[in-house]
Amino acid sequence: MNTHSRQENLLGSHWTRRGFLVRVGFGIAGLLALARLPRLNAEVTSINASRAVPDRPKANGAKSVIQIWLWGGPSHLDTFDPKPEAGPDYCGQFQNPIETSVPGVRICEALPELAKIADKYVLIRSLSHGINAHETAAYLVQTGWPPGGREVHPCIGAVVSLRKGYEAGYTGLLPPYIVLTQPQGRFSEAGFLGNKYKPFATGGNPAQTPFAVEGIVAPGISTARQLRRRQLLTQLDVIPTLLSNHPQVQLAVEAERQAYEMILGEGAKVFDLSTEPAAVRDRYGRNTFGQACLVARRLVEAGVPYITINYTGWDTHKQHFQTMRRMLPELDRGLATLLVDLDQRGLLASTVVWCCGEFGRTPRIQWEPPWNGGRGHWGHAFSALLAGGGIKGGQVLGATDAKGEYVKDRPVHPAELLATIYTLLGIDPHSTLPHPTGESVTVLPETTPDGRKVEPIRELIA
Amino acid sequence: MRQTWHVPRAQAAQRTSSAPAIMCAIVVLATACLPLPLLAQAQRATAVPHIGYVYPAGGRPGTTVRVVLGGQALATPLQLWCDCPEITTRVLEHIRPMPLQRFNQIREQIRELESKRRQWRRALATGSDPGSNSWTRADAQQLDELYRQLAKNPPNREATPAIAETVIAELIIPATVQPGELELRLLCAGGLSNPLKFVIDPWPETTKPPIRPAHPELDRVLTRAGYPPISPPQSFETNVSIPTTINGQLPPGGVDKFRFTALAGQKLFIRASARRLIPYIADAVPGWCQLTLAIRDKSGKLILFADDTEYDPDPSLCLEPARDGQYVLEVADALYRGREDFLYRITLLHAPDSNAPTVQMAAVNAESEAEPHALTASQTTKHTASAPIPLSLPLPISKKPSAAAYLRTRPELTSIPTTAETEPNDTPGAAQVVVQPTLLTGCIEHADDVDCFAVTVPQSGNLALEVLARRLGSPLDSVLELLDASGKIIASNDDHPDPAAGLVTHQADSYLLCTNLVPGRYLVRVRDAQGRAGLDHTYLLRISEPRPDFTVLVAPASLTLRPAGGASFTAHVIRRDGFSEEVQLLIAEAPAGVMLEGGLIPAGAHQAPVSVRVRPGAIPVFTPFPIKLAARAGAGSNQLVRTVLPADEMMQAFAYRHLVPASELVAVMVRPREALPGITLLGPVPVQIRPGASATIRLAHHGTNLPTAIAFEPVVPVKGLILGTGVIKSNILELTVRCDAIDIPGAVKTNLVIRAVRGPASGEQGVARRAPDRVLGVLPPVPIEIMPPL
Repeated sequence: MNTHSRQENLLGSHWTRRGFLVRVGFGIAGLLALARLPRLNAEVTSINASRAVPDRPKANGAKSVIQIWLWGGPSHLDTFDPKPEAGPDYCGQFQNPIETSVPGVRICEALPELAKIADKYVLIRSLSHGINAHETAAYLVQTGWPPGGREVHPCIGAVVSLRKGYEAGYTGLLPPYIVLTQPQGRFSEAGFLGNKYKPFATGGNPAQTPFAVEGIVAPGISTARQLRRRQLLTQLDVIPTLLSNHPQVQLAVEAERQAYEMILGEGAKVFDLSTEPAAVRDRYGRNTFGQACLVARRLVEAGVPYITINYTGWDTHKQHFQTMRRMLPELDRGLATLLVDLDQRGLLASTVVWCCGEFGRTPRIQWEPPWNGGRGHWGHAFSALLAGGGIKGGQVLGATDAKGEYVKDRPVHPAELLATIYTLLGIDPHSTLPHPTGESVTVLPETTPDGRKVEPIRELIA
Repeated sequence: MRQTWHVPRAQAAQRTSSAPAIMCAIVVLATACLPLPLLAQAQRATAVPHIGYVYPAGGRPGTTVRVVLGGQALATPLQLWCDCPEITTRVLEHIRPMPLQRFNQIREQIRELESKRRQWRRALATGSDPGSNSWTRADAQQLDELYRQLAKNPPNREATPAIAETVIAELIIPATVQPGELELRLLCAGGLSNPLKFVIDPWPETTKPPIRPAHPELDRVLTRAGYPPISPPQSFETNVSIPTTINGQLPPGGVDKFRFTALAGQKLFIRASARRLIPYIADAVPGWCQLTLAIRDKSGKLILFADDTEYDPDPSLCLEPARDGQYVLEVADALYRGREDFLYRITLLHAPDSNAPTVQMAAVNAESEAEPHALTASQTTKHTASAPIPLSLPLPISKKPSAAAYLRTRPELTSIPTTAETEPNDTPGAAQVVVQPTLLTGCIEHADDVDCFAVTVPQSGNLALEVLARRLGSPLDSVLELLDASGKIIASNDDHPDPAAGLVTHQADSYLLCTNLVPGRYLVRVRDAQGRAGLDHTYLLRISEPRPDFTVLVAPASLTLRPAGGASFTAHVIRRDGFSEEVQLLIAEAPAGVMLEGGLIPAGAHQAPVSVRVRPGAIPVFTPFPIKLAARAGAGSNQLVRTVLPADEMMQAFAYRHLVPASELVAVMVRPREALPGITLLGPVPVQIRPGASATIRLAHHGTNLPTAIAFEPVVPVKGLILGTGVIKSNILELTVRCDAIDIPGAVKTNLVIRAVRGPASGEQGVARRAPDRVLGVLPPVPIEIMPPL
């Protein structure tokens, strides 16, 4: 991308971010710091930001977003859109959905904790895009744009990073867009906005102690040892002394200072779950997803605008029901506890939580070999859970047909879901994004493929 | 939506006990040829078998080949059915993974015996009395037997359930059998499996031992006890003599090596088949074994490498050694994947070899880069139903097996006169004037080549333009354009889907159907979308007025019929040139008593379920028989009758579905434990219904042995139609159907094909069983007419 090239030129042809890190001997820790380097030099980072149309905030109650990304595409029938009347070839082992705290709304029996707090969230049961391939569906759900166009659009996290990050006054030490724990892949990141808006992926496993966040918490290295390393590095690295007046070197020195601040200061503390009471950790569930939810709450408390929990394992072609029996309780416990915890801390009103995958799964169970009771990809209908940040909970939007195969009422395109979240954050979904070649590209498309104007879903906003 | 109800137990018992005696007599007579224990087992099992591989996937005339078939639901194998009647087959053994309980028992017994032996040895060493721990010959034999059982069919979490069961069978191939492709299906108690390819080649075979899924844990146990491990070695190496056909299976990470001697001045053809044998693997990405071939000299230096042949994923090589010596052929998957169904056949030949007719053909075309195709082209015409290509095709295409396979689906092309492209015709001014209708044979020979044809649009103002290239095996990625007299492009197309080309994963052929054109002179332009070219970039270009026509494929290609309940399959209609009429399926050839029901594919529909039923007693059970179908549309002089082509719907890479042609539609009657009584449809028909309303389907059942819990569901859901509640009144079955149409634009006529399945028993929580296990049969198709809203 042009952004990247420009940066390379200014830093010197060999001084890429990664190369620079190697040279200053920072190791992984510096990577995180340098992710913020561009904000220190407006010239370095300027694309055609001046062309961007300023946002016109509408509903500005939300400050952060937690996206729970069910990578692989969970079955909508086995989560938020049960169809017990469709019979065993559709329901399989889940034929007894449970009533929620909202009369008339039922969800899968494996989600009892979420059933208790249905007044806190909205279920959208009529999401549809018709795409059955992971990458293209994930791209569409996270960007709102159909795949295959000339542009590679940024995902919502990158747009929030742009509009709510450093250039919008964010002063937090941690990056404005964080993914727990593994990145979602090349089809759903910063697009034409450039690498600066890519997420910081923590790596590691929050269910383990310590949570070895890549670049922040080095496993096996104490704070004292880290300080000794810094001292040694300072003695060896003569460039800052020899070129102390060079602006790029000054930038690097500042980046180094901030990186150390992060790995030895407040940044590391956010990821240190040992400071949480054991009972709280237990409530979230002592598994990777549960503890990731807890970290997400702590990141919201630290003011991070966009956090994604990339929760993998939902691509259940085979062993579907065995996998669902294992994962649904994790999801139930982690997500329900997160919503309750945010609510009790007064954070839910300012934090949008949304949970879905890139598509649903075939409503009719694939009993034939080699699937033997699995479910395939299904983009014609799927569900999402949406809560907080100004969302009016306790309702269901849209409906699928009797077997959950197609949308019957109130179709919702993923772009409309994203438009709702953007609006809650005060980001105009039709504002123009900075583009490296000056193209006029909006955050979301004007219309859905079936011709509806892409607008926030008014029924959902309190 | 389905309705389940439970018949009172006492009533059910009474019904079961009073099954018609005549039916029993028929079954006893019909199955007299089966051994009694097998028959008893056959009547217990109900799951329809599925086979994932046959290894080796071929053999040589005049030999007996022992094959392993891997699959699922292979219990009680009765017959290996081959579409070449000259070949005799025999099922030898069925091996299924041991139940965990039995495995634990064996492990415990081994532990006890090993302990006993240790104590006995210790006592011997110390000179003390072993007491009750004396090690006897019987103990040794028992231990050996336990290890043998363990090694033969252990439970294995690493194994893929869909191919975990195996059947060992034997094929006796007479010397008179001609080389070519055959199909094998396994007949088991549950029915007839899907077909898989078995290739007859005339050369001596070299077959690597079959592999099994790795089981490191068991290997440790076995090797500790002095038994060989069951996990396949990562690499396999052996010597081969040319000519030969090599058979192999690749384990994960596996590289097979075959050493051979070649002399300077010789020419060796090496042609691999992997995707050709198993076109699609559902749970692999990409969806087939992507074979690679590498040839190294004695020092290990890489001489040649191939991972495909143009757009054919199966690689081929032509080796002309610079010096005499030993060479090594290395075989691996491109991604080093492996499993029992990652199998291959590789032919190594000297050219010319006057002993084999196919090699003569290879020698004739020895100058062609596409040489190895000649071998397979000749092979495929022997046994498959594909007739010789009735068209004069450009050379590279005419040698492609894919061309013959695809052109079976397009018989209408044979009636169009052919014309050869004449160069130069690269510019509108030099356009070759052609008279439609015509089938042009052309070639994009060089990078800038654009072929222009001047054509006169008739008074109808309609013109159909179609490129056939990729579907026939040509690498051309066509772009088709229609320009008016001023040179303005008025229509263009890059790719047009064609479900009949099930083996082509990148259908790159173009198609234009132009209507309401002003009659007069137009220009048709063909080029390659990628700017690639060559003498092999040949194509056929159809220029004609629209010729509405159709192709019908039915899937699956194996049918398991239940007494009274029959079976259902799906008819897929590929409509061409605006053909929109309804299509009626007919039986063209089948044993007496075989009846087709509901073979009407509504106007405009692209698929419809069809059922087939057999008159009681007409066909003996467990005896496969082929069915040939035809499809008819229109009437009078406009009537079109087309041969219906059997196919199997296969999934590629977890997502994409393809209709893969099969040689025959084969059916078999089974005798399941539970079966439907005879059911007939009562009037009034068609059942008329309007959006938002309900209607009642009335059926009569003529038996007394209705299963205790039964449910009904559409075989293929009809969008907007929901099968609702059902009621039994005496011998009358009433099912309600509701029309919840939200997007049915107008009147629709269709057949609702409903199957009966065993519903969950009273109190049963959820269903974790395969649906095919629960199918009881198919009801007579119900003609439904959805009326426009009032």
